[in-house]
Amino acid sequence: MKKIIAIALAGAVGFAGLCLTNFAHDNRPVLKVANWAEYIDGGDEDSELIREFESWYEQQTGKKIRVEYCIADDNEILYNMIKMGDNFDLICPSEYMIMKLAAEGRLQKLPASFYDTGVETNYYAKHVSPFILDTFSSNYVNGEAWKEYAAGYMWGTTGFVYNPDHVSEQDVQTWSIFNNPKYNKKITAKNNIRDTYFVGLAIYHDAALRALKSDYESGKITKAVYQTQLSALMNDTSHETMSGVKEVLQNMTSNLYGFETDEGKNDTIAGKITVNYQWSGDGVYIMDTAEYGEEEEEPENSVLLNYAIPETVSNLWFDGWVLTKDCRNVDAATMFINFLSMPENAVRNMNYIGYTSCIGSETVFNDFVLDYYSAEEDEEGVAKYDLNYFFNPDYVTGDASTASEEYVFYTYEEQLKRQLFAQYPQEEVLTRCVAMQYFDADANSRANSMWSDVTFF
Amino acid sequence: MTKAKFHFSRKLLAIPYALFLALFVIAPLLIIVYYAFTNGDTGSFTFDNFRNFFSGTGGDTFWESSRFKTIVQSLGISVLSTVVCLLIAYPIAYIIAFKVKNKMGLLILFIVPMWVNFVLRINALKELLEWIGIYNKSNGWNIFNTVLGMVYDFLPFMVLPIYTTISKIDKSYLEAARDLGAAGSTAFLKVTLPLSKAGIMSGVSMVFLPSMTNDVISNYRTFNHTKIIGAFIDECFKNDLWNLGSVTALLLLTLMFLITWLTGGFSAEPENGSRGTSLW
Repeated sequence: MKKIIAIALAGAVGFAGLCLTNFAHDNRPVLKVANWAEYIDGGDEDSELIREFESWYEQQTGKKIRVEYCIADDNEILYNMIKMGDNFDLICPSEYMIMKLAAEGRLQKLPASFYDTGVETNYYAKHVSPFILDTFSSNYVNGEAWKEYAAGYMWGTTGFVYNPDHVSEQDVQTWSIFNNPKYNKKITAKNNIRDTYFVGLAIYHDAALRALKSDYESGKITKAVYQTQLSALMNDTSHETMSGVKEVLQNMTSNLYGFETDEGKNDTIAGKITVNYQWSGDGVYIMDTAEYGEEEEEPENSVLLNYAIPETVSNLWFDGWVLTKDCRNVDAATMFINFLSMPENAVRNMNYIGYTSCIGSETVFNDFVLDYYSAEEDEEGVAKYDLNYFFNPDYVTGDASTASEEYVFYTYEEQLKRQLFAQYPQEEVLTRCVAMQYFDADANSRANSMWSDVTFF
Repeated sequence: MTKAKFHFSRKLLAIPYALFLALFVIAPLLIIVYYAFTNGDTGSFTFDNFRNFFSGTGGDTFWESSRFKTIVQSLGISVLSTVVCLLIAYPIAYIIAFKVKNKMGLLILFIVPMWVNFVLRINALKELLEWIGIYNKSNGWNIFNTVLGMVYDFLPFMVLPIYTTISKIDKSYLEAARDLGAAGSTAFLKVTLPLSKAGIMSGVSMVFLPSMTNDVISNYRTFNHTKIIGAFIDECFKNDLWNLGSVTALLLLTLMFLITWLTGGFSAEPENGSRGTSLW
């Protein structure tokens, strides 16, 4: 009965979900994949990459496959689609939704063979960045590491896209910029509970975060302890904290230009918004467009925008591939992940999407990072940039002898505040970035109430 | 041998509409009722969702909560938008119906904007307001801008039904009134206005109901600074609180029903039997 109602509701409400196939009516078995819009090379409709996967799969296994590629607008809509009975095989939610789905038993684990680096076609296991693998091994859901369920696809941070002509660099280092009257009606927050709750927490816990940071920097606590405590602070949903956060957010709303999701991009490029709280990947898009214009042609008034991550804490997020409970073809699903994890395909995806891939192989470093960002040592205004943590599998944090010169390169100094920084922040910056857990039912309901109080003013 | 005869009657033409009604009006309504009265985990019957809704948002009572204030603000914006629409639309409809030769030309002026995508239109309006300098200035201006957006968007829905009813009024009634000594204003108040009541009611319900819930306008118009109840319902469904969202929708529906009933919206059939019946 519930299912019938759910299906009827899906029809009636028409949740924004769209599936694209190549309309070849044949009896090839289907692999049904859900992903975000514009989140694969070539866009969605006729992504060459998907067709290439179909032939690659046939070549590898001798079996045919047809990919049905569906678009979900956001995590909540994807969740509703699954709840209402959409039978996806492979989906790509964000980390908190992966945790929620796993906790509700809606996912199945990746097969053990997925991480066997001895297998030629296990491109994910062979090429995933050590940083990503480490994060996916040290974060848990249901007492099991993320990597049991998820293979990372894209990742990033949140921070401020700002115009350095109008905004001081000290100000964007602090979360209190949201209350700074200097940026009255020039600063935006995100129009969703989770991202904005994070902002509220960072302001509410400011003193504690600073104390923690100085403890870590003076060597009183280890990195592991620091990150555990940071995570605890930034995932605090107790009654007391939530009402504190509510007050913080209520105080800052009158200073905001508004809450936005995608609408803020254009206004940031046009200069109406000078500080835009943004996901790093969209930040790269905004910086690129402000600098080069829509068609890769220098616009009349090219603007150089910067990206900054506040000094106390910020959000680290991931989108990852997971197998649903009802996945009918685990083989094809894992091969799809591996196909996207081929370094050359990862580069193609990054070029198209603008977000940062979880794949950290030499090819990605040479064909993407160096291609876009490297400079000659003897040029003026260049600086060294170290990406050992992301690309060097032998690297151990804090042990300089394990670092390889190969992954240290020269880049233009401005890139330390711009696209390179947004795509690949330095290791010490990521130390202070934490992933957000999902809200349990009680916290979710309280957060919703809090949000309606905050957004009514 | 008798031949089965197929009698085509006009009633059969109602079948497609009845099907449409059942599928897209009745069924969703039933689903909303289902979710309003069941609990999320087990699907068993409960009044908890209503208790939840009326328990306020943060330890305070419902009447002090932002949820109640949001409803009041939505109602206010709705009433204001409807009144402004009516004040603008009635004279226009009257003039087009009675005073103008090229009726089609003028009507088209009001219909053409509807051919342009409405998100595009409200974005354009946003740019205009920004240029004037009243965009996102203060809460007062935000509410003003929201009302402006609603009026801008829903005006044709008010003009058209009023125009249709007015243009169908038998002119001989007016002539009779004038013959019997009524002044122009009296004739208008005693004849034209009552006879166009059906059009007004149609127009009012066409504007009042959507402007209560069309959160797209308030979102774009004010960058989510002005919250209406439609946005609240949207958030509930997005954040996996279907039961609370359904309760809110159901209560809103009841409120609308009451308002329509109290203002006589269901008895829109005019007493005098003119052809100016409700349009929508």
